[in-house]
Amino acid sequence: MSLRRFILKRLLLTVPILFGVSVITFALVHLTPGDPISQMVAENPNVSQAEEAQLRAQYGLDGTLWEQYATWIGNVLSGDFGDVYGSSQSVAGVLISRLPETIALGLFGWVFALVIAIPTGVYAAINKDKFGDTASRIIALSGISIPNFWLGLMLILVGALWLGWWDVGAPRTAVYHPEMLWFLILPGITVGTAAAASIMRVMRTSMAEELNKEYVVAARAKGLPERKIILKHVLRNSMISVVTLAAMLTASIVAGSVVVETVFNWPGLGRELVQAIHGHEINLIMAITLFTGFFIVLANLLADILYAVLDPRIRYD
Amino acid sequence: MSLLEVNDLTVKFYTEEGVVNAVDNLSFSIDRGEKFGVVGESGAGKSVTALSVMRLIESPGHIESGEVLFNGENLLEMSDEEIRSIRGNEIAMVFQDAQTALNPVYTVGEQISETIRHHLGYDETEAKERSIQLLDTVGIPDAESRFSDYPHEFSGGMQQRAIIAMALSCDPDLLICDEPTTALDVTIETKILQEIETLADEFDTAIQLITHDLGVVADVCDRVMVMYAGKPVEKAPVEELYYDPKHPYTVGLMSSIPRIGDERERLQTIPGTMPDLVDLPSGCSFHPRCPYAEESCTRSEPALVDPETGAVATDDDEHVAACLEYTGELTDGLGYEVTVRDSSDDAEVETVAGAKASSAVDTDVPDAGGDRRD
Amino acid sequence: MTKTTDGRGRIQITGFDADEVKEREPLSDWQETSGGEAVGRWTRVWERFKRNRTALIGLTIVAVMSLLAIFARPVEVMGLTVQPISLAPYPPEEILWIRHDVSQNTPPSWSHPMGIDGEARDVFSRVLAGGRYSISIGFVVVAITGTIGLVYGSISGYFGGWIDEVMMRIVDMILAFPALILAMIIVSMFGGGYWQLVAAFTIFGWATYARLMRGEVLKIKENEYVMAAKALGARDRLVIFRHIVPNAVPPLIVYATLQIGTVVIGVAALGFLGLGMDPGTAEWGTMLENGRNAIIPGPGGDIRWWITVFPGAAIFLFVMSMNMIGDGVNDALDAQETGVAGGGDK
Ligand code: SF4
Repeated sequence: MSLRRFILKRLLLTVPILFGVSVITFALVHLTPGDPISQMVAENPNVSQAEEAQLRAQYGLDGTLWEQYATWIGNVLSGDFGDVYGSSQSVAGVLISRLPETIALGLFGWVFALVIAIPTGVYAAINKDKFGDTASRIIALSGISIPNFWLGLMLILVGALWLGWWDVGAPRTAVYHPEMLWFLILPGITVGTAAAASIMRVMRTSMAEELNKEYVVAARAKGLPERKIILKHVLRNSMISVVTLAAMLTASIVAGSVVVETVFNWPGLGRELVQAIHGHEINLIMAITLFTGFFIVLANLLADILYAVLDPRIRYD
Repeated sequence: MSLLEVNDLTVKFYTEEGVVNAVDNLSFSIDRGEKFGVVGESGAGKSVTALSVMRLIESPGHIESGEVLFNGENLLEMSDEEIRSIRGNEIAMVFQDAQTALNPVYTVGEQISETIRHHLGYDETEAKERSIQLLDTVGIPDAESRFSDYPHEFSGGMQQRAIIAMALSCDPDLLICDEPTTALDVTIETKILQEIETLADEFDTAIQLITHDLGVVADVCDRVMVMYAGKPVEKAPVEELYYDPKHPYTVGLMSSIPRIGDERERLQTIPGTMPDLVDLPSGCSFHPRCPYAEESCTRSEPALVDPETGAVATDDDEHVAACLEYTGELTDGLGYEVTVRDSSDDAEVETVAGAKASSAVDTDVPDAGGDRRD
Repeated sequence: MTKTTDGRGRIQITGFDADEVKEREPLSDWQETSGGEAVGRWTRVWERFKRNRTALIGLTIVAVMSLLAIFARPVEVMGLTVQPISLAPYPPEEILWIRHDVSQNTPPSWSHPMGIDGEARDVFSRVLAGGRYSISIGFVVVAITGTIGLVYGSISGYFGGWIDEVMMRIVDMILAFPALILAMIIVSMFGGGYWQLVAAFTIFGWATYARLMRGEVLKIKENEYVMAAKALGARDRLVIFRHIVPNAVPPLIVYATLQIGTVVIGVAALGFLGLGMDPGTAEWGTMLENGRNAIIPGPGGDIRWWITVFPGAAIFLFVMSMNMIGDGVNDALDAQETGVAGGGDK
């Protein structure tokens, strides 16, 4: 019962944050000196003052900032993100067509990260300061240090150019086709590497820390087998810090996908955002940014709830 | 045959600062149902002794040599499988700080029944039933509903009771209590000690009680071993230790127990601190702190001997001590004196002595000059 | 006096004279080792850090790479040459086939150890000088954001209540966005360039420091000495900066060290996305963006790996070294923490 109340409270706290997220998104685009209309006008000197005013009206860029924000958020809440200037497609349509690509990539990266990181982290903690631990620590340190765009380029260099296993500009199948898994490997690894490395490091540290706690000695003194002590007692305690980190990593995977999609020419939201930024497509920029913010807030919410489920002490604090 | 017999146990820790001689050539034995006390300041090697008995010394620690015979079998030579079937089952442990000894993310009940399921092969419901019974036995009210509480929902005293319940869950032959009451306040301390004592009698369990508090030992134990810097310095039946302490360190511990009605102006505590076990003083490790130390104490290391005869201690000796005095190597002797006054002699102390008739030393103030932490 | 047989009676010990020990000459030259630790807190941290070989390697690499970046080309401040040394064999922007006998896309050789890129520029010279932007932006951004975050977090944590609530909700909102995406948008609005990049990472970059700082302040606030200072009527500003900040900074320092690497990658990533410096600039990320078409095999089917491998490797090496330092600082400070707390408490 207290868990439910906790979740409810967290949900309520999310509302003002989501509001703030929308304000920041809006402000980013509207408060900075480069107003998109003035940029359009600057690029195209033929636009007359009247036309400029008309453009502003068309894109909801007239009136006071608050009025503009109110119009925008009102539209957004009713599912209308406006149009893409360049192609006059609806932004919502673009989002819907690009989203599955990004989700596929992110999910692959996530699964890759967890599958690699948790067992390695556990292994490293148990074999602390032995060879395997040292090796995995160096790899993890490299993993958090390697720029993902370069990692992507290097994977292409090796996988596509030297080994010839992938085609650089390969024709792609539909997202839901099983063959996609093959194409996902390189970008998926690129997106997941940093997350894998961070999770591994945290897993190792928190696991090593937990292993030093007295309840572990107590569990051994009870005669429980080591395997059970680690998998039942220690793992659950160390997962608490990993879960918190995992939420933060959602942000890293989202940000990573922007770069990685560009490297691999992956037709997802991230590449779309980069193109939108180059083309000053403010509706698209705002929509994707807002979407990203929402997604991360929700991921944090989920992490908090998971945290409460894993750690019984938290609900009462 | 003794229940537990530790022979020539040596444990070392290989740390960055050097090799720590945590336990050096230690021997003792505990009989079935006996209550055995291990006393010393923190850092004396008491806890390491306890953990070694259960073979729970972790790297960088290492049991160098010796044997730990439990019912005649050497625990140090057992396979991991075998030793695990003894831990928690035949030898159980009560920890100093119950709060840290309990896993915060599992319910207290689960942590007790887990042991029962593991060792006794009970199923879920049977184990739960027995756990509730045990919680009830150790004096936790409303045990049925407390079963599914988490450790943080228990008070400190209750957590320690739960730990005791856990330790007793498989009816062990030996219960090792490592400073079981240090983390608790004085009023609860007495209750928990009584609880341990009665339960041990009830379950017919031997106790190895580790403490820095001579008062606690007086209340509970039959025999005592005093440890200093990883070595035993005196072993004796509890009464003899109090009325006729042989080792200057024991004397120091006793004279630093504050007593009501004491005529001395201030307490005589043992000067200085326990030496760093990496770099032990030469000869008798106690010499930098011993008021009776002489030149010879820095040169030769005293062996445990029978203080009457000076002959090297054997298993049959009840009372042994490790001081050069008893091998005749001291010129000036030990200049302390133990006086025992009958309570009727002295009106001032009558009430105190009367109230604490069962123990020789007042235990109201628990600290025996040692650090409360370990 | 004889023992009472029934165990009753009181024991009194006389003749155990502690003073005797204190007054006499030490019998042997053995000495108590504890208590001799009069060295300051930061000295001890430094001592520990020095013993960490990995961290020292990192420190060396960072120092060397920073020096190389400074001395690769002369530095001019307002027309005045303040640094005349030029280690790079060619000006990084120079197109070599005009004056030298080289052609585009030449693989590494003795005269051009990292090869020639697609615009006929010397990759080695470009890599040497390329760290200037990312590295200096990294340090500048961390200095500014760290300071802002420190002040913001201290205020929030120290005053608590609704001030804290509001201030932290703002931080939550900022942290809902990946820093890179915020930076991208800011750069797209301000345009590219050095100070624009600094702004892009600074405007929101302080939020994590603020959160960290607040957490530390909340912990320290409960300490007795702070309570005492407040009770004695010390002014808030004094309490914060005299008593709280010095004790709260260790985690901030660790984060800052790691953050330098993150910003360096971020700057390079923006460069790679074409949002950083001007396209031809010798900046590691921008170089990779220029070299992207090099991943498609050249006319003869040859792989022009050197164009992408070296600039990226430079970023990787720098960031890795920075992270090695960060880990070292963390270990040194952590050990310190436990050394002070000294067990006992849970
Ligand atoms: S041997 Fe010497 S130093 Fe050691 S206890 Fe006896 S008198 Fe004191």
